[in-house]
Amino acid sequence: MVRFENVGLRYGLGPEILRDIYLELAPGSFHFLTGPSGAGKSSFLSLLYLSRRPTRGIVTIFGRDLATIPRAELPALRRQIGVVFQDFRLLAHLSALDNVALPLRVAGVPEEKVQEHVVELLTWVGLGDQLHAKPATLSGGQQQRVAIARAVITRPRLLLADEPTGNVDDRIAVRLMHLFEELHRLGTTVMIATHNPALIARSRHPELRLEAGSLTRVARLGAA
Amino acid sequence: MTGFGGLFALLSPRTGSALQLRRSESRLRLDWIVAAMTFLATLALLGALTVGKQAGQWRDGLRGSLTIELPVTATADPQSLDKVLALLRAEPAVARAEPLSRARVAELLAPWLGTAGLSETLPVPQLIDVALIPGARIDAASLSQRLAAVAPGITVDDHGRWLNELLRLATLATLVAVAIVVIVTLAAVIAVTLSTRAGLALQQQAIGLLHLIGAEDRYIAHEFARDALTVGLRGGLVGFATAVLTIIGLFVLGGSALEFGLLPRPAPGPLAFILLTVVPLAAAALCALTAWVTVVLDLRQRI
Ligand SMILES: Nc1ncnc2c1ncn2[C@@H]1O[C@H](COP(=O)(O)OP(=O)(O)OP(=O)(O)O)[C@@H](O)[C@H]1O
Ligand SMILES: [Mg+2]
Repeated sequence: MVRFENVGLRYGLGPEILRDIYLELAPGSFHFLTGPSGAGKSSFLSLLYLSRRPTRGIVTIFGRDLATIPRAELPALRRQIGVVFQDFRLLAHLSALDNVALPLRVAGVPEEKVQEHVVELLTWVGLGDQLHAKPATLSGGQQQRVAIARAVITRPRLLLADEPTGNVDDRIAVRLMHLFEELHRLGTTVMIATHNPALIARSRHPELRLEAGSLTRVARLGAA
Repeated sequence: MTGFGGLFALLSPRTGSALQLRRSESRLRLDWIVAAMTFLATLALLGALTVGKQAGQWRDGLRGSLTIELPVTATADPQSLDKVLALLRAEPAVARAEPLSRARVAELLAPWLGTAGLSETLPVPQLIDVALIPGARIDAASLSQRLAAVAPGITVDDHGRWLNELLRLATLATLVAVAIVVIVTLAAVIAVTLSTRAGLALQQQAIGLLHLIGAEDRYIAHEFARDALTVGLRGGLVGFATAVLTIIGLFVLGGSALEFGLLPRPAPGPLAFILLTVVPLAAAALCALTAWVTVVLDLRQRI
């Protein structure tokens, strides 16, 4: 599904944010990504959602080498990846409904289906009465749920979530984790970057830790 | 965008437009620019069409006729007119040859000599109006030689020189119109390109997001092209309507300023107006196409 070989990333002439990363994500796996602020979690995810190419090494996604994928084929690959951005990146002039509908519309899904799916999903994340609200009038946690709904609406093969529960209370965090678990059960490969130890403690999934540019698997004590 | 299908698709509404182009500061009042361009193009083309049509009519009217002038000295011999007429009527290409009455000559000379009428004693040249069989041509020079045998000093005018001047004028008008249309088209393309580039810069974040959720360049280009089509259509129709009103105003109000001497006043026919409705539509299509190409070329350079 995803393979990193000797990957390094730097911004411009700055230091290497990521160094000598080796990683293999099996299809249908579920991982947490942790590490101190500024460790490079978001940068790491941005390689996975095809936003930038590594400065060295080889990244392979869905069996394709990122360095050799022609530009014209990127959209088809990106449609199989759902992303919850740390800063949400909702379009301010669109309603919650239209924001969530965007990935479907971009992919040319018929409008009747779009409406049906989007309303259902937004209702599920507790925003059934905010369908037509603009992001600016939603709370941080509500915006985050819109961002999550947009990431999962297409039932992606790979789901990348950057701090998806940073702005919600525990009750909603649990509910959102259920959503990710549900997708995972349906076959989606999931990676969630988080600072929230409780979230990790509550689940059985492995943790990857990013620190000083290196990625390590965290041994889980007492995990099944 | 595939031809008309693509253009047509631009007209169908898209729900939840991802890009907020309408409110961009970049608008550069593109609609007014397009309106001005369409106005100029319409006027230029209308002018060319009208002159062309008129030149054609003049040419058809003059090609089939000759004017023959017996000098005043020859008129002194009453025989020579009959001899010339007999010779002319024997020509196979000639359908009809009639001497113009003195009254008609006076009428033709009125612009120069006034309408008071010719003094009885003033000698005037005898004019003969010759109509040719439709489609037949006659060599004015050789005819003139043959006629000179019976009436020395006779001149044969097939209006050739005048006609050539006229046709040159019509060609010139067409060239000027084409030049104006070309310049206006280039200016419009530049304006749309600049406006689209500004829009791209302003919408950079939204475009980045669209790419990340799997939008193809086509999808984004479509948004820009549709916006340009709407703006182009609005500007085009305003410019076209203004041009038509200007022309009508010119003929209704400024009618007397447009006298063309003895010639009929040229007027654009209804056909010209119908043909020219293509101009605003072409302007809108040009805007859409330019925006489309600008976006696709720009996005191609991104990852
Ligand atoms: N676009 C960029 N250009 C230059 N430097 C960047 C850019 N994005 C991130 N960085 C730098 O890369 C490093 C890692 O940033 P990143 O956002 O990946 O960290 P993070 O682990 O996601 O942090 P957080 O937990 O606070 O979200 C930081 O030092 C940051 O300054
Ligand atoms: Mg981050």
